Amino acid sequence: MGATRVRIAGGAALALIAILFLVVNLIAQVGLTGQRVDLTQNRLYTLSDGTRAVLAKLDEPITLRLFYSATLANQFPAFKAFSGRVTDLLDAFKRAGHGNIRIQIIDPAPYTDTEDEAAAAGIQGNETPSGESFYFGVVGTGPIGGREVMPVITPDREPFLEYDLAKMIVSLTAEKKPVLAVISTLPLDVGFGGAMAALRGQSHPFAAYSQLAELYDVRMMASDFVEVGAHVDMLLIVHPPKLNPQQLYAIDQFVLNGGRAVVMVDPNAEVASQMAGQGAPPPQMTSDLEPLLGAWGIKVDTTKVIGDRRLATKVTIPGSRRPVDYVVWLRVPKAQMNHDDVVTADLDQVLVATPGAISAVEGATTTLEPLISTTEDAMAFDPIMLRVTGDPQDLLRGFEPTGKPFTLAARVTGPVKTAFPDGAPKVTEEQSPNPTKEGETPAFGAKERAALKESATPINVVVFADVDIIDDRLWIEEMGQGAQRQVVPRADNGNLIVNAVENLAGSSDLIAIRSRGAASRPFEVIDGLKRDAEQKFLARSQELQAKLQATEARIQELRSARPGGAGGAIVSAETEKALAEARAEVVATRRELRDVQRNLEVDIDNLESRLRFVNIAAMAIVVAIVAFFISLVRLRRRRARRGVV
Amino acid sequence: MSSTLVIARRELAAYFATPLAYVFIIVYLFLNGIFTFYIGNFFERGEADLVPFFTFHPWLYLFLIPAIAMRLWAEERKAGTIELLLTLPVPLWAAIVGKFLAAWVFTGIALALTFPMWLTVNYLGQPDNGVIVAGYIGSFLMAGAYLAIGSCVSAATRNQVVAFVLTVVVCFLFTASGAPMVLDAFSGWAPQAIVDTVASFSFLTHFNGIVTGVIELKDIVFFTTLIVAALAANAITIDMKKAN
Repeated sequence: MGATRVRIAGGAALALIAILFLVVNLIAQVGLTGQRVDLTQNRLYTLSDGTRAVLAKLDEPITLRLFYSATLANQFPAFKAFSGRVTDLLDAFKRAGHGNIRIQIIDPAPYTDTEDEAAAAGIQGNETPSGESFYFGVVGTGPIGGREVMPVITPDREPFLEYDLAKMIVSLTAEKKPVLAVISTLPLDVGFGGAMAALRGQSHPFAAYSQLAELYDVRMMASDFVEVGAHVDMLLIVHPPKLNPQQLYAIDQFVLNGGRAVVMVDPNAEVASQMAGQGAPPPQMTSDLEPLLGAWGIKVDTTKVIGDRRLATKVTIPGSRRPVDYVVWLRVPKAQMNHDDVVTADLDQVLVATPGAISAVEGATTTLEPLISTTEDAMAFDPIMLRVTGDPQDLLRGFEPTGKPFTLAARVTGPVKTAFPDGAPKVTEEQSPNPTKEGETPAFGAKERAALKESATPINVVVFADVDIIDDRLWIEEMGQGAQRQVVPRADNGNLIVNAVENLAGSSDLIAIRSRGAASRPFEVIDGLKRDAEQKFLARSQELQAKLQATEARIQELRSARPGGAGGAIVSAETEKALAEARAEVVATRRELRDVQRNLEVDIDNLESRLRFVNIAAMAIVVAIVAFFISLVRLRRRRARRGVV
Repeated sequence: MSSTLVIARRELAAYFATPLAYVFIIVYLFLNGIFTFYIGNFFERGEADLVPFFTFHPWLYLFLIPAIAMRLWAEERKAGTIELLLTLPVPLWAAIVGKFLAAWVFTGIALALTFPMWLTVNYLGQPDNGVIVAGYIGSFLMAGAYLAIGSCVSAATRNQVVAFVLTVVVCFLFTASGAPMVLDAFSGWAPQAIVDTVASFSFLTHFNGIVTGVIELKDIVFFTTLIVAALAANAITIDMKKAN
């Protein structure tokens, strides 16, 4: 009786425990999302403050639809892991969006309505080996009917995925295109032919300008502007003319008020030489933005042009058949660009002509973060040199590398003071068509904003020490005429400028979103071994190939030297012997070549098998030895004890 | 508390008094290496992380941990020492927790001895060591959950083989419920909420979450409540058997 009661009570208690366990975990499953410790090095699973700020500002719902061919992804295991990261990130967005972010994950299975939906939404399908379309992209729809599409998400963009998504959300909530005001002596909007030629279809805007005009409300500032209006979101200053104090003051105040600017100045702007014309004044070849740059803690020396031997572009000069290195025209590869900054991270190559160098001024309160740098094989020239000599080889002959890289483009951030501590400058009639009148306080550029002595928030400016980056001749090829005209970029110059503007155009929250390290962490040691082996292999195999060719050539020669030509029957014994030797040599060389190839991976194989041994057997052997000794000691002790007894 | 620790220490020392403990560790290390390098394709992947190492832990534990857990109570019951243990002036829970802790620390030692793996990835590349730390924490927690289940099952029988088989079965249910093939079978007809709920009671789901480098509170809650529940069930089972 008692036993039965105990059994019933025990059974009930067990059932209660099971129910408690289930309930607690069901609640935890729903209620405890987001309580986590992120142990990853780059805090991969934690949203940056910038994203959180963007999401916190949402007051209307945004829907993010992820089109992901989950069923097809089974064929690509590596991609599955990446897609997990993407859905995790979307999940984090949803949590931080406090109900204003809706996430839908759609699997556009082949031959279904959802597949049509994905295609209609602008998601790019990629053909799989089995012939079906694989989709992986995001469509965002906003409260005011806006739509933004990320047609395809690739693993190499992973470090910037959070930035891309946040940018998508920001542009979905933006009500109008941001205003980009341009200050430039170059006719970016109509091209060198001028407005009349443009009307006749004979001239066209700069390609980079056209790219910007698609994204922004771009307005060219008149040369006699007196202020930067409050409606302006960003400034793009490209090869500025000599600005008068009131204009500089206007720019100064714009930036201090949190306005963002992309500045392009140049010690030698080759692009300007196209402005030369009959009767026109000689073009302005040099530009700067002093005293503003100085106030921002940087300096672009207009008396120095930077050359880099390793990045030099090859040019053909009259009278020389071989192309020669022109050290001041630089082909800047990915390696010389900042991988961690969203402006340059995705670019492959930028072409730069006769750039200057950016350096930090002593005691600067700002941080200068290089975006594009030269190699250490670089030096500074006097721009006069370029105009005097017509021969690139002269530059090469006198080349003495300074051993340190120069910064060609940089991001400048931090707090700054005004370049006009005495307030708005008074200007005379000579300086400006809008002179300061007697008894009037100049308030140019400050009409709609308070005059500031120092920056309200840290400034954020991107500076290029080269204007030619924007020159179409440098980076695009044109095909066709008129309506058929097509622009084919040879380098990423346009993207560089658009990225810089786009990054600065975003809210400061967006700029603050850092990139994360790439997910891939390769076996560097093995890769290194592979590289070494390949290098060795290449040298040796070239050697052997040459030997092989030489021997084969000798065989040919011997054959044709036979009396009666190649088909001759009578062969001297000597020739026959030489032929046999040569043939044997060919066989031996071929074998050696094969051996070299086979030995290519021998170092790696050795390393791998060593590591396999250490990890599979070594520790087990150590444990076995320890166990053996311990049992030996025990046995001895036991015996000793027995002996005593 | 101190009686728990005394029992734990005594039990742990007892493990190393027999060659069984060493055999277990050697088998564990050996299988871990084989799985990582040959089935996990450690070198072919070329990534400096311990994913191929941790991936097999749930399945490795599925068979190795019941082997440790089976003798926890079944042996005492068979040898009749359980009566002696229960008459000692220690509360029942102290004996249960002490035995469990000893076994858990023992698996922890075995796990710690895999450190050459960690050295290896650090030699070969620059792994995210935070993720690796999370992986070890997750693996240790999961081992605890397997052990607690095994301890509970072991208390229900005097036959170690039965204890082993039953533990494997129960643990298999907890593991497989998160495996893709099981979930696929559900996802065809059951609503997503049910699929998610089934998955949320799987070791795999929680362990895979931790192995990515993020330790979520719900994962910790899952493993600790499972351990506590299994040990409580363990106590009740012993009480019920005592009445018999």
